[in-house]
Amino acid sequence: MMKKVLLPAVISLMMSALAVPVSAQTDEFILDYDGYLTAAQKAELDQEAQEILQETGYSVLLLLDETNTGSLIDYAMSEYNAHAPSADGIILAVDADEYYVYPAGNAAQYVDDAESDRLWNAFLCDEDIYECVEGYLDYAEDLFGQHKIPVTPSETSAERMTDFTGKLDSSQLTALIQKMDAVSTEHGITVAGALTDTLDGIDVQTYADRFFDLNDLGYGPTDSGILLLISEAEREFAFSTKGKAIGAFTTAGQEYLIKQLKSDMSKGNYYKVFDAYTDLADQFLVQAETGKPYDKGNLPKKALSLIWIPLSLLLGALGALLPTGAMKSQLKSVYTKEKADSYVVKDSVNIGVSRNRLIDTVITRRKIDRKSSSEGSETHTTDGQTHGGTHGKF
Amino acid sequence: MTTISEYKCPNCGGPLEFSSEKQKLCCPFCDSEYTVEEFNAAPLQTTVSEDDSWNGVIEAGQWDDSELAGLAEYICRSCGGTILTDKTTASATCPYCDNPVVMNDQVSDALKPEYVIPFKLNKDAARAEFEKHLLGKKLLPKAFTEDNHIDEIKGIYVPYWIFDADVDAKFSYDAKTENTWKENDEEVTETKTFKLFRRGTLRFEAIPVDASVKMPDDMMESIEPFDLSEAAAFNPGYLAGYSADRYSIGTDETIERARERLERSTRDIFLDTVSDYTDVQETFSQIIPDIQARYVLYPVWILNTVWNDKTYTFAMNGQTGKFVGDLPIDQSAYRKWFALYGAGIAAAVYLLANLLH
Repeated sequence: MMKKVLLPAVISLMMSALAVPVSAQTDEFILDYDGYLTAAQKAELDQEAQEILQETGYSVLLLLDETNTGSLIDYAMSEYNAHAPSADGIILAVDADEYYVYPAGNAAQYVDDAESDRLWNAFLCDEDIYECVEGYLDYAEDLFGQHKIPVTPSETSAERMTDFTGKLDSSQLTALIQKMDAVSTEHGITVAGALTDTLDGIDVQTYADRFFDLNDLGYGPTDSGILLLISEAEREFAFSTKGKAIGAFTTAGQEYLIKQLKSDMSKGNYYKVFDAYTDLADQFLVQAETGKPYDKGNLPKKALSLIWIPLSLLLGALGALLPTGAMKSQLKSVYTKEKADSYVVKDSVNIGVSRNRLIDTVITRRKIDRKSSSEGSETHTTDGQTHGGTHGKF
Repeated sequence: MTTISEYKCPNCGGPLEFSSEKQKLCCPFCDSEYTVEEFNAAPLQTTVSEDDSWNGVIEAGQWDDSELAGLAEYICRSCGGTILTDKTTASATCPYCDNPVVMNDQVSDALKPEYVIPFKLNKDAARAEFEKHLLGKKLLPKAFTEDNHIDEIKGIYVPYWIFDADVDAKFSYDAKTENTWKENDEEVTETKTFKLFRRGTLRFEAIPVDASVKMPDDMMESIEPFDLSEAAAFNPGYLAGYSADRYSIGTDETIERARERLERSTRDIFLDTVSDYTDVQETFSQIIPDIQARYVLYPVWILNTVWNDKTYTFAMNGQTGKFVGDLPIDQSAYRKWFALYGAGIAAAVYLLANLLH
């Protein structure tokens, strides 16, 4: 991925730029250490990169530093990690001798050597540096636009319930948001939900974890929360937990939640799913605050269905037939005798011929299912972030 | 010519009755006792001939021809009273003077039974068994026990055909065996299919089928078994004091019942020889019994009672004491117990469901 640049071309580009000091910003995407861009130009380009992030979920950075003498790969990686707001994205690093495109996180699956060359070619132009950077950003926007992870607009706070499918009407969405807000505030742990139309080829657990992180759903300094993400097209769902929610929603607890919600998920009753999920999450958080979160051997007891009342009565009536039948049979003692066992002369039975012929033998084999279950919460890392969670299909 | 025998005490002339306790003919007046064999040694027994005018028909005009055809009339020589019975009655009591009489023609020649099992239990034992029969029955109406009195207790010698059979039988079966074991992470099942063949013989003795149309068959079967080893060679003396009938159903009609019973028993016995196999299906059977019949009299106490305008009949095996008879049911008691048990079981089911939920 690291390429030797055509030095004269680069020099000509740089010569055409005005040398301006680089000013620092909060979200810095354009790292112009050489000062080719004016402050205003840099601000505009940072803004453009910010929009790309919001639209696609990918950070697109540019590093210009002709003073670099060390490994450009290491330099690119460290600058990306220092400045990129998201774990997924790219940085095009250019020093005096070469260029390198470092893809981070999910971007790695889309940016190979050929794509790196195209990104570099997009940067190369006959215009001034501003136009070149714009060309690079435009190309990156197109590239990642095809593989975007939805992120809520930065102007509004990340809503706890997001619907990208339009299946929930506004009143349902509002009601869910209010409920989730109330539960989250009460327990200091975010309870969030997301309904998306497609995963765009991304693994559902990774998608949920990244959605959680990208949308900053975590509550407080521990970044705690649980997200239920459902994707309509793939019919997959995932729980993503972080911070204190990892302990509150154990693996067994999440399996219990899945059992309660799966039927409505399959039927597409999404409002019912998220509403029930919020109530259950509240119940789980209350339990977790006692110090004994719901886990294997300690799962919530649902109220016994009302059907058990008539069922018990029916079984009672059927069961009562036995003892009362026995009482009734005491009154009857006159029966015909069907056999003559008492009249068989002792030792008179003589089986003279006894033959047993084997006709065939059949052997069948069956694999024994081994179900393993564990207590506690299993965790994994996504883009360097620790999450708990489970996923499945419906 | 029809003759009846009256068993009169040689000592005092009183009517002798066969005693189940003493197994002898006893006089209730002078307490004299005679074995049947002693009494049979002439001239102890009084055999009285009937007038030739007897033709079994009463000329009083109270009966129609079809009824009269089934009746027989005897004159009691003790009191002159008329003893009217049906034609199959072999022993009776004079309704006027209680004199026991035996109708010899009903128990002689071709109609003579081979054996008789004498009564071993008396009327008091029958009454006691009846009282015991009523005990511990939660659904028996209390009024039945309190108001009840036995209207009639009668000791009857019931005629039976008993069948002996030498049976030759063959059976074929389809059957399987199944073994299961674990190999690593697999459950392995081995199923073997077999064709089984059995042939053998067995003997049945004394399968009883009651030969009286008057006695309910199911009731007579319910008081089985009778122990033929206690039977005596028939002598009319055993009948004195008891009622008796000669057979009214012949062997042709009763042999089928015996055959049904012995075939079922034979089938079970042979099936037992393949009990190590599972899924046994009988594919062929042949049961050939060689059956002989014998004619015997067995002792039975019959008790009748009327309650709520319905007659309830009970029977006791006069040899073993086995007592049978269906009793009425107290419907309100049944409903009460049903509700109690039903409520209890329903509550238990609901609690268990809650616990396991």
